[in-house]
Amino acid sequence: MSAIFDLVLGIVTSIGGFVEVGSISTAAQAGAEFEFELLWAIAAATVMVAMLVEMSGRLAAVGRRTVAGAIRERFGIHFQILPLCAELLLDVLLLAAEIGGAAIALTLISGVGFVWWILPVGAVVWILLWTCGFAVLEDGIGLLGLVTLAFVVAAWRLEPAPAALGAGLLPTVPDHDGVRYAFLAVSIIGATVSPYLLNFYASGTIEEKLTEKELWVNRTTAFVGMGFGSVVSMGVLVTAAMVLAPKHIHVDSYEQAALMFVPPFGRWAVGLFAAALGVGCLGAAVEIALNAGYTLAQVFGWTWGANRPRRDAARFSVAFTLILLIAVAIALLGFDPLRLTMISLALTVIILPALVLPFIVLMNDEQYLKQHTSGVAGNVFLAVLTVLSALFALVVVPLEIFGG
Amino acid sequence: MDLVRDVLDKPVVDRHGREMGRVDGIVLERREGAPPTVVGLEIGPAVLGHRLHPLAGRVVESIEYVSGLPRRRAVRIAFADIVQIDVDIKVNAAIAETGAGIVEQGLRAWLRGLPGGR
Amino acid sequence: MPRALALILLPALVLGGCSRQDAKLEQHAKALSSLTATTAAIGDAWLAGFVSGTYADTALERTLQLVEAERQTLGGASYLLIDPRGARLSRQAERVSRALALMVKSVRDSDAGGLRREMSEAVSAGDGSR
Repeated sequence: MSAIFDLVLGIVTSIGGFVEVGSISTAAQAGAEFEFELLWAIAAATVMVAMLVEMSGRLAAVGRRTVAGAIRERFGIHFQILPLCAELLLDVLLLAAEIGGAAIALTLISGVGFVWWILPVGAVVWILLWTCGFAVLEDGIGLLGLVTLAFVVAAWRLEPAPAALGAGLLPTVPDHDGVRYAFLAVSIIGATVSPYLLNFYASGTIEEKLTEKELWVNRTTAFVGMGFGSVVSMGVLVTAAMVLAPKHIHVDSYEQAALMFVPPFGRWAVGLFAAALGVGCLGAAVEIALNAGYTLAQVFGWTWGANRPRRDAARFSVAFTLILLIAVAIALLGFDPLRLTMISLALTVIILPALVLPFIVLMNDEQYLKQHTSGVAGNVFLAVLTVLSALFALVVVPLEIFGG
Repeated sequence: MDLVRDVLDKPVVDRHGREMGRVDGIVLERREGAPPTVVGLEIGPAVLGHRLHPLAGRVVESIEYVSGLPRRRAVRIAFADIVQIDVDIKVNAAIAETGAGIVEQGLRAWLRGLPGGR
Repeated sequence: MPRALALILLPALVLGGCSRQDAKLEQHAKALSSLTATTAAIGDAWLAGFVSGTYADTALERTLQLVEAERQTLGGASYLLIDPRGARLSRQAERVSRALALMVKSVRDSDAGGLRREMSEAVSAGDGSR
């Protein structure tokens, strides 16, 4: 009974926690510029992240190791140091973008400039991290995040043609702006397959004390949770396609994106959009900051855990605090959160191969996974993903320059 | 036993189950006419820094010096004090008796000044 | 041989440069068109009572910043301004900017009639960019 409750909660919070500043901005831009043609990119990215997240959870449940810890042990610090530094830089930029996104959500309803909201949002993130245990952070914020289902409701109310939706799930060659199309496809993958998610999920598996016996919970949460979560992301794209594309409105700001809620929700439009954006970004900010603490603590062997008293894991607490402070400082510089998001996503795509490649070794190591090593399907997937992610890493910068 | 695979970079816990860090270095003793023997493990940021690059090691030592931390606070654990090698390495030592916990203890004292906290 | 090479390369370079310039101008035209459409959408939503004055004010201000950014980019690229299409875009961006600034004032003054007038001006200024 308890396992089923955990499963349902895990799936529900996966839905609520799926959408954040990166997925909202990329899906909105994709829908506004290419209607349904990039739905396949969201579906493909979801399959990728679900498989990687399942593997991370399996490593933690069976091997009692997180991704960061296992990479340090198996590959050594010489291999890990560069991807670690890149991931921390990415965490800081993405965290700044999420805080900026939450601040913009407050600006939409208050009219007060978003820079003024950066400090309060940062303070709320820190207070949540300082005072709450893992269950509250993960489940509480995930449940609040169900407000993002507004994107699904909006899409449903706009009555898109099912045939057109189906066609969008198949990759096509665009009839205009091929470079921009490719850039958005790669960005959607970067927004969905966020490196922080993998270690965060593994750390959460250990926090929640999931064991080998509950691998089915891990598998179901990863695939069903991510699957349903991607429907929210698709909801963003479809709503933008139905409302913004016919008016030739491209999404260059979150204020423009909010307009997509006017036809389906009328007077509730801005409030709902702000709530969805704000809660989605706040939840992601908490996860990213917490994961930065997890990663540093696990790589260097410090005491860690959101369920421990904060003073008993002092270096872990100071680590997430410092990362948060740096992100707040960057956000206070007033960079456009949408621009910062797109830059972070490009960096995500660049470092993805360095994070995917170790999985090929880890998931076939019987010392970590016993009899639960990857089968043929898992290994083929990892090999294909490694090659694809290397290809994306090569093209993302030129695409950002010419199509971003 | 494969030292690199089974020992190096593994997490270390003391006799009370508290995390001491990770094995940042392995100390070998060279003997004339005989293969080297493993003397012990080393834990410490400066050890890790030196392993990465001598310059990195010197930078870490400088930061520790400026922060007022004792010089050469790297923890050396004799190989004979290793109790078990499993998911982590259990050793017959206590973190409070070594330099491994200095930064953690210091930060705990500082964090006690902050209100609330889980 | 070098002369033959120049005869082949020079037109290719000129044509390549022209197509890049065309692409840039098209990009700016689309951006301005999008921002004009955004202006109209915000104005319509406010007039219909679907969005508050707070949101309309914020969104119009942000759109104004984006239009100004387009205008400055165009103004800072002399090779685009020399082109009559680029010069026209720059003038249209200026008209849209001015209309947006007046729309912000109308929202703050709760002047629906004034907003309709300026919105019409913004749309007709931006329409010329299509």
